[in-house]
Amino acid sequence: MSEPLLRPREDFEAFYNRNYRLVYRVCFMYMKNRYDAEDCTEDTFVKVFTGDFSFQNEDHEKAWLTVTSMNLCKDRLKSFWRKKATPLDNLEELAGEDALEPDETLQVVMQLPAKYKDVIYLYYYMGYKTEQIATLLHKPPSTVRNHMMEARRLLKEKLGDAQ
Amino acid sequence: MKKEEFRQAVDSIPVGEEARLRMYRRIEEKAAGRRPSAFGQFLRVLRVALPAAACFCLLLFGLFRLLPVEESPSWEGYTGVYSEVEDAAAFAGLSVSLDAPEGAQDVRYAILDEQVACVDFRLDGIRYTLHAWAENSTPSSAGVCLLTKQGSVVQDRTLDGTEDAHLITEQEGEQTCYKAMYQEKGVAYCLLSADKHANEETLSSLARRLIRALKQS
Repeated sequence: MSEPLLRPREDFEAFYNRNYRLVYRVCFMYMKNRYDAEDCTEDTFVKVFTGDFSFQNEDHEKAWLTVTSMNLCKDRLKSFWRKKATPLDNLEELAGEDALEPDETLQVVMQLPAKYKDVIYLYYYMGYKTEQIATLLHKPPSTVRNHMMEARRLLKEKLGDAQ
Repeated sequence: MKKEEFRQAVDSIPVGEEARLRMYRRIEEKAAGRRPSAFGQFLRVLRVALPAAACFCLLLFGLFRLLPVEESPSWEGYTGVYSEVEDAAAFAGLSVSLDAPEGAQDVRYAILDEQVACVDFRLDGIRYTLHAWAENSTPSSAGVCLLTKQGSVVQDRTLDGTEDAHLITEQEGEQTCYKAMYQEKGVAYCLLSADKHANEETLSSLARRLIRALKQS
């Protein structure tokens, strides 16, 4: 087995810089706003920072972060007492940045139910195969295939040229 | 939808330098808040240790409840001289024939003041004590009386109309106790319920059974 990629604390900043875009974008797709996306991104990295994780390689690292952030976002969306508050001292910083207007494709994918969004993201963006997605999501490959089929049907309905 | 098209769409989600720094700063703050303190670690240990200790105590309690508890014999605390003996054969030297009735359990034997034979036994869930001494002996009545006394005598009546057998009712507070005293073949007997659970009928019935057995022997 190769040497763990992440050495706790000392390499965390490099780890963060390597992955923050990936995690933030996953979180944004689920949370649909910058504030919650940032919050979930932070919580995903806090898990790594405070936990005792080691990753075999960058692929493992990315897969873990993607699935963990997806699950975290879904938990957050499910929770009844979902926190919407943003500390006042951060509002000024946030207001200074340009507001995001996702393109049409992304908007349509973001409207999909979470279970379809999972497979679409892992297949189209991360490039995983059905079996790999099934392993990552702890679901049978047949379920993943069904979700993929249904997601494509919905996308086709809305975009008109689903692959 | 093509893969490249979707990738470009996702990659178009902007993550500025400000956001990178802001998130990193907050990650450090959150992580510092989550780092377990010594007290937190102590609480975490307690969370596991307390239920484990409670289970252990319950287990011990259960074991003690299940284990048979040996009851003290009636002569324990007797102020006179007594010696616990192996079986009824030890009473031969006292010219007394005495044993627990058939079906008795937890039978124990003792000789009090080297003159009084004593048998403790359990029958039908009730603990009894049976004393016997030769009528020509002179047991230290003080000691034996103390041992067989359960309260103030409130009634003394004959059993089966014979003067050789009496049922004595004693009262101590709210508690009514019964004692059968009878004589047979030059030996005096005293039967009482050691745990005071025998009622008049039960004790009389056992006394009659013992008397009958003596007459037949």
